Formats: sequence, structure tokens, C-alpha cells
Amino acid sequence: MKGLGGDVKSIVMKRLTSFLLVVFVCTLLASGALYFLANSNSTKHVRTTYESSIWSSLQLQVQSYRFVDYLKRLDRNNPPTSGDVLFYYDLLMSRIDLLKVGSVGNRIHYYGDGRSIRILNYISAELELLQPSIMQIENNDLSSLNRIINKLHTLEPQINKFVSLVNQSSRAYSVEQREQILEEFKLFKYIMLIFISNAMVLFFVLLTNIRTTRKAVNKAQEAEHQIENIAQDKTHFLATMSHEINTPLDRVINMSKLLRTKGLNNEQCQILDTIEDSGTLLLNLIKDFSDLSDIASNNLMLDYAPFNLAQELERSIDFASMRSNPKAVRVLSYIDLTLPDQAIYDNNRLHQIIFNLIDNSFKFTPSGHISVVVRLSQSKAPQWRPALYPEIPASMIQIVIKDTGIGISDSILEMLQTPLDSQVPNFPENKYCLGLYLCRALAHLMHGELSCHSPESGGSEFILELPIFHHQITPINEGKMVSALVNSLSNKNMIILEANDSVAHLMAMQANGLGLNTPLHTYMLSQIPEQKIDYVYIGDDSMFDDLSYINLQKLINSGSQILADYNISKNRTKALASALYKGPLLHLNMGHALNELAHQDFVSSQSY
Amino acid sequence: MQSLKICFIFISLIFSSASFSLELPSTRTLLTVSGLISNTNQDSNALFDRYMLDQLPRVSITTHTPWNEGKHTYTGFKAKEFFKLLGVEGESLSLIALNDYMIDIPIQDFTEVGAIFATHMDGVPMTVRNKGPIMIIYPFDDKPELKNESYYGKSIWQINQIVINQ
Repeated sequence: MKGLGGDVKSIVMKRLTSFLLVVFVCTLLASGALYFLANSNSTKHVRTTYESSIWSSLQLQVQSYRFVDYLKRLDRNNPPTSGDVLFYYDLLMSRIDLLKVGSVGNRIHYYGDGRSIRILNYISAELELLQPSIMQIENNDLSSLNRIINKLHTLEPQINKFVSLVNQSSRAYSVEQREQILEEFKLFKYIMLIFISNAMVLFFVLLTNIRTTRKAVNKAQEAEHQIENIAQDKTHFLATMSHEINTPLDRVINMSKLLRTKGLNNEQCQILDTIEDSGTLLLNLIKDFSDLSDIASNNLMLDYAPFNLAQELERSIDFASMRSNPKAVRVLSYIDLTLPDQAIYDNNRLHQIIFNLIDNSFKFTPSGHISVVVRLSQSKAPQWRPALYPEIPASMIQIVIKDTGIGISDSILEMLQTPLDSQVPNFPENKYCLGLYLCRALAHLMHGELSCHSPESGGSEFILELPIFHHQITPINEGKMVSALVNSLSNKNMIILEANDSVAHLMAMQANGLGLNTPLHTYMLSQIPEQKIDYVYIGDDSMFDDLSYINLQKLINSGSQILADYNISKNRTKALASALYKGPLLHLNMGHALNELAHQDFVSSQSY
Repeated sequence: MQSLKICFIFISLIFSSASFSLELPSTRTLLTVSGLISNTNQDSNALFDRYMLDQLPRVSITTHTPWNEGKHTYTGFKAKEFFKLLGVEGESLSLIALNDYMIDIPIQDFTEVGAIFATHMDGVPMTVRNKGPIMIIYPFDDKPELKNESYYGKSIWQINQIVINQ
């Protein structure tokens, strides 16, 4: 209930803060708008227009006095100089013109309910009528001088009335302006009152929020610290446990190996096998837990160094295959020999991933085969580089491990598709998933990706995409170790006798990769190809008939070398074989076996 | 191109010689310039009639103003050549109108802002009734930042006296 109350309080505080912020912004905008209106150009222009109308009306009055004064000073002894009378007249008329046009003229129309413009029009008309007389005086004919002066005198009251009307209107304008300013000031005062009170409340609310946030941050920091401590404790515990269990377990495994040499019977040997297997499994489990814990606490360090890619990959596959029953499950590998010969990567961690994936396949593949295909990936390499190799070029490789087992369970698929969050260690519940989870976490740590699916053909398929780094791209088939092998086997012909199509296809890929031609791969030798056959590889003789053996003998007679799988079923086949191949059918390993067979230094039943 | 150059030099010589011989106006005086000037034609003043003003190099501004409806072309004489002709040594002008209204304008308004002494509106000489004989016009349309009370106030009309100050 306390937690719920806290949530409600938090929501109320948030809404109150938002509301206050809106009011704050609105009042700020309103006061800004009011200030803008009070100081806008249009307001200033109206003010200027009123001022101009007063100024121009007074100027009209002044100029009329000046004109009269000038005319009074004229007589026969003092005649007008050229253009002077017209000049004064024009000056007076220009004042009337200014009062009639533009914004001043528009304003004058409204003064005194239109009386002002009527008076101005009257003054203007009367003065316009004087123009002929003005021209007479300009021509030194002073006969109409007195009439003009009298006329101007009669216009004086009208001009005074006009000026008075303009002044009255401007005073009214001043009063109106003052009242408007007072109204605006009142409004401004209210807005400012709201603004200040709102600002104060907002300040207190923000202060309260800051306090609450600070408390929450402190609590979160404390919790984070506790989590870190727990993670550290866990890592420490696992490290200690690993170390403590490792020694006695090693002793148990070594003792069981020692016991094997003491002349035990088969049943006792089987018991020892179980002890050794279980001991090794337990040891690996402890190591996996330790690694997962290190990954979760960001303590797992990667070790990037240069390695011979093909050799190390085959070594890893070979090692992972050791625990298998070769009679039931065959392991094959194909490596694209155009991949870089030397590459920089964490070999131990890649070995760990390959071991775990193959081990997992073994668990769920009671019979059939497991294939490992390594090739260049089409994915874009990441920007990330190892600290020791900041500028090194990168490529992505793809390692596909496919088996013919029972497929992947939904729980494993879900686990592998859930986004990885290295901050929250989320160990899988299913014990079989532990190795896969570790593989995925390691791939992620190395900026790669592990995905899986169950193909329609059955079994499961794990796809590992991983960046590798390399200074120069010398392909494997041009490298020191493999180029001689490829040169030796190049353009030679090999027949593959294998009942399983997938295995036969993969073997053909291996052979072609090494430069061999594979004119035929079939499950029985019903006919012999026309070209010279250098090698025959027998992977499975279960379907062989008499004709197959006759043809096989013919091939032996023509100089073909027969390499047969160690686990073939028929002794008749074994008798014809030049050599038996034991162990996983690894790409380069098979190449070496064929090469040595050709040089006649192959020892029968030798394992590769 | 060569003939154009010769023509330009000839015109320049005419103007440079005119700046040292300011004759008295032959018709009604429209403008009296006094103060810090070195070239005069009557006592310490320089008097100009319409003919003399019209001989000065011309310049035009086409703009709207608050006093006349629509856009008009105002033509007048170039301030720079006018000040050169008078040998102006000051930095400020006191402009006095026919009604004795007076205002001070810095010389920079003519040399930098672009104000002119307008004597014609749309090609017709400005009479006293039409804010003549001389009116200050700023390029309001070309420089909108001039459209404010400060520059409108300095656009004085019916000018008949100029006093050059420090």
C-alpha cells in the first residue's frame, strides 16, 4: 500500500509540475504580448500622427500670421522682391496640404465630429481664391493688397477654431491613452501576480521533486552497489569453488586413468569410463559457470592474438569429437580455403564455443552426422577493434554446425532469441542450455552473433557469425602449410562411395576445395569412370554388391589408392583398402591422408 | 573603351575646377550654406539657386515614404560632391526649414547610410507646396532598418539653410 501511495503521489506531483509549467509559460507569453502591444510600431505611429496633427495645425497658424505680417510691410516704397509673395503663399498652402493628406489627414477627419475638416476645407478654398490676387502683387500691382490682408484677418478666427479643435481632440486622445495605459498596467499587474505566485509554487514543487529524485537516485545507487557486491561475491565464490573442486576432481580423473592400467575387466572399464566422463563434465560445468559469472560482471578478458585459422579450427573440431562414438555419429568439416591463412582472434574462446556447440549436437544426435562448415560471411564487420590492433582490417566468418539429431527445443530457441543484456545475468533454467547460453554470451562479447534454427530436413543448425582481423590476406590454400598439399592433389580424380547424400556432398566439397576432381560419388560401384582414378574413398560399404567389389579390384589394379573409413562394416572392404581413416573427417586432415597415401608411407589403421 | 576613359577624365576635370569657383546665383536663392566651409560666394556663406543645384552630379532613390502615397523616385544632388565643392570640414549638419524648424544630422547619414538632398520628385522640381525646394530622403525600401521614427524625423523638408558644424 505504501508503494501504491508513493506512485499516486509521484503522478500527482508530475501533473502539478506540468500544470504549473504551462501556467508559467502562458503568463510569460501574455506579459510579453502585452509589452509588445504597448510598444508596437502601430501604437507609436498613432501617437506620432496625433503629435504631427497638432504640430501642423500650429504651423498653419504661425504661417498665416507670418504671411499677414509680410503683406502688411509691403507698400509702394517697399515693393515685393521677385517670388517672395508667392513663396509665403505657397508655404501657407503647404501647411494646409500637409493637414489634408496621409495619416494626419485621416485623423483630422474625425476631429470634432467632422467639424475640423469642414473648417480646413473652408480655409483652403478661401486661400485658393486669393491666388490671382497674389499673382497681381507678385507683378507689383498692389491694388488688391488690402483686400487680401482683410480676407486673411477674416480667416483668422476660423484658423484659431481649427487649431482649438485639434488641440481638444489631442487632449481627449491623451486622456484616452492614459486610461488605456492604466488598464494595461492593471492587466499587467494581475498577470505578474499570477506569474510570481506561480513561479514561487513551481519553485517549491521543483525543490520537493529534486529532493525526491535525489532520494531515489541515492536508493538506486545503493541498490546498484549492492548488486555489484553480490556479483563480486558470486564471482569470488565461483572462482573459489572452481579452484577448490578442480584439484580433487583432477585427482579423481587421474586416479581412474591409473586404475585402468591395473588389468580390469570390461565391466570395470565401463564404470571407469562413466567416472571419467562425469568428472570431465563436472569440471567443464564449473568452468562454464565461472565464465558466465565473469561475463555478467564484465570481468571476462578476451585475448586477441594471431593464429593459423584452419589448423586451429580443425584442432577444435577434432578435440570436440573425441568424446563421441564414431560408429554412431560421424563428424565432418569443410573450410573455405580462400579464408585468411593467419588471423587475429581469441582462439581459446572460439575453441570453447565450437566445443560447446559440437558437444550440444552430440547430446541430441543419437546417430547420423555432424557437419561443420566454415566460410566467409556476407555480414558487415563491426567498427569495433581489439585494443592492441586499433587500425586492423576485419572480415566476418560464418561457422555453421549442423546435425541430424532430434532438433532444437522451443525453450532453447526462445533462450537464444531473447535479447542479451550483459548487465543482468539471466542463467538458463534448462541445464542443457548452459553451454549454449555461454556460447551466445561469448559470441556477443566478441562482437559476433550466434543464431540457431531447426531446418525442415531435421536436426538443428547453429550459425556463428564472428569478426576476425588480419593484416594481409594470404588465403589458406596459398599458405605455408596447405599450398604444397593443394599442389600435390590438384587435378587428381577421386571417387566417393558413400550412402548418405549429405555426407557425400560435403566430402565432394572437401575434395574440390583441395583441387581434386570428383567424377563420381555413389553408394555402390556399379561402373567405373573412363578417366584414371587416383583415389577411392569408402565412407560406407553397407550397400556394396559383388559388382562393386569386382570394379574396386579393377581400380586397384589400375593403380588407384583406396582409403576406407575405419568404421566400415565389411571385412571384405577392409581387406581391399590401402589404408583406414580413423576419427572425424576433417577437411585438411583428409587431404594429408590422401597425400601420404600417394607417397606409400601411410600406415594402415593410422588415425588422423 | 579608350574614348570612354578620355570622356571620364574630362568630366572629372570640369567638376574639380568648378569646386574652386563658386559664382553668385543669378536667380532666386533657394539654399544658403554656412558654417565650417572653405568655398563661399557671399561673405562666409555659399548661396545656391535652382540652376546651380541642378548642375551638381545627380543621384536618385526610389522608395515609399509615410508622407506620399505610393512609390516615387526622388532625384537630387550627391552629398559627397556637394560637400567637396563647399570644402566642408565639419562632421554634422544643422538643416533649417522654411518654417525655421531645425534638426541636426551627422554627415555619415549621407556618406554611409545613403541619404540624399532631393530636389525633384518623379522628375518634377519640388515646389514649396510639395515639400520643396529640398528634402532629405533616406533609402527606406532598400534598407528596411531605417523605417523608424528616428529616420522619419530626420527626413526634413522645405530646407533652405544648412549650417556645417564640428
